[in-house]
Amino acid sequence: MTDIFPAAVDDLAVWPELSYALGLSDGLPVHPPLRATVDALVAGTRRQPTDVVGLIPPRDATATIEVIAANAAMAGARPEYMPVIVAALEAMLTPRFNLRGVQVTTHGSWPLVIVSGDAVSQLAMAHAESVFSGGGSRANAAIGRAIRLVLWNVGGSIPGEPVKEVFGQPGRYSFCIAESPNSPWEPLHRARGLDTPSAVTVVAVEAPHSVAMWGANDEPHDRLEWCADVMRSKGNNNTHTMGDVVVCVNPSEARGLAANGLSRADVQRGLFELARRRIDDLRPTGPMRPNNDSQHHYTWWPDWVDQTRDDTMVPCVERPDDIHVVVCGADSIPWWAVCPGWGHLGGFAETRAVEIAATPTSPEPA
Amino acid sequence: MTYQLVDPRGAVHGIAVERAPRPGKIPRHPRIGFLINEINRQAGPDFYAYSLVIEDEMRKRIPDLEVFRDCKPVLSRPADDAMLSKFRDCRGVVSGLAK
Repeated sequence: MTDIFPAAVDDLAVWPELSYALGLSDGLPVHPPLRATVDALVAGTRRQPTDVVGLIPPRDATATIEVIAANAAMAGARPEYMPVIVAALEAMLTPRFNLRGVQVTTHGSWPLVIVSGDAVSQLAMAHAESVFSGGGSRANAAIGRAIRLVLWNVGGSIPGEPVKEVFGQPGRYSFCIAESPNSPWEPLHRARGLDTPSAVTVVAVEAPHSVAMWGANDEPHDRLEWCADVMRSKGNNNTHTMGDVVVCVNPSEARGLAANGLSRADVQRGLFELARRRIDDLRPTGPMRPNNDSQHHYTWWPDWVDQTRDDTMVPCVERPDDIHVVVCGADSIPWWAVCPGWGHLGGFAETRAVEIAATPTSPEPA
Repeated sequence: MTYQLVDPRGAVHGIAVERAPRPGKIPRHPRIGFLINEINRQAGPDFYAYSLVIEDEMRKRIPDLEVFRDCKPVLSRPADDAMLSKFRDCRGVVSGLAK
């Protein structure tokens, strides 16, 4: 193992083994960060290469625009992806996101990058079939991969020390989706109060849990209940600590809800009311089971949760707005997915405007 | 042909911190701090209980030990400056990993 990064190589054939020897990859192969490629990616940001975006924890190394571009080059990104990558990283560096904790936690959450608005078509992003595994789009794969490599190389998110994640999840390799332009509702970022053509939202969540409508009737309440049942799972961090949740609805299902008069906010409110669990069902079992005394109360729950009663129904989020409803996936049979969050500890959704600087030339995804 | 490369790792501008001096002899009435992650354990590693065991062991060896305890408001986040300042006059502080 070496830690001397060469300023130049005479033969690119040495790069694959060199990249592994330098620890620059999490195992998957990476492109060489060639100076010409990096310069082109920097130009895609309209910013100076020395501009500092922030210190990436836990290593706390400096992420300049050029350093981010070097990782984006290794991920196979195009210059027009850079505004999304930089905006996503800036969003993750807000204190309430707690990126340090997200990077090293034992929990299997990871920053999900959600692109919404005009950028989805401008960057030829996949939003339909297989959206959570890239959907065959270079943009989805490369944006998610660039984020991962910045967090790996600059942030030092190395498994074992310092990352204590017990199981991990495949989204750590690349975790980027796009919202469907076929949604009956406004784009996600507009629902979150950002009036721009395009934006990126980041939120630390687990991999998607499938919600198939087995036996559900066409009534919206029934559809919401199927989803709520997954959201309030006993082992979810949300169920015990609240925090944020991502709920994905595919376009046909979203149209069905909209046809029944439900807005995105209605879906959020409905899930907030339904995704609840009795408090005595959440307490640890066994001889050490705590009672209702205040010494055993969860200190992180809001005061309006009455912890003195066994029959209190506790929601899995503090507010309906903490349920982030995203329309994506195949426009086929109705389907939902739930991505539980890290809980009250951090990884809370942050949204930033994105302005695409260059004309994309990537082909449409299959 | 030569290919120029850009280092993707970023620079670390660490603050040099010297190791605290090790006293050859424990002073009288030493004050030790315990920075607890979660005092009302509901699940996961019981760091609070571990710290009580450590305190018991220390008291056997240092009878006049003074202990100061505090609990982080959020277990996974570093303690803020105001909380850390409470430990300033401690000879040593035992803190736990987040679960």
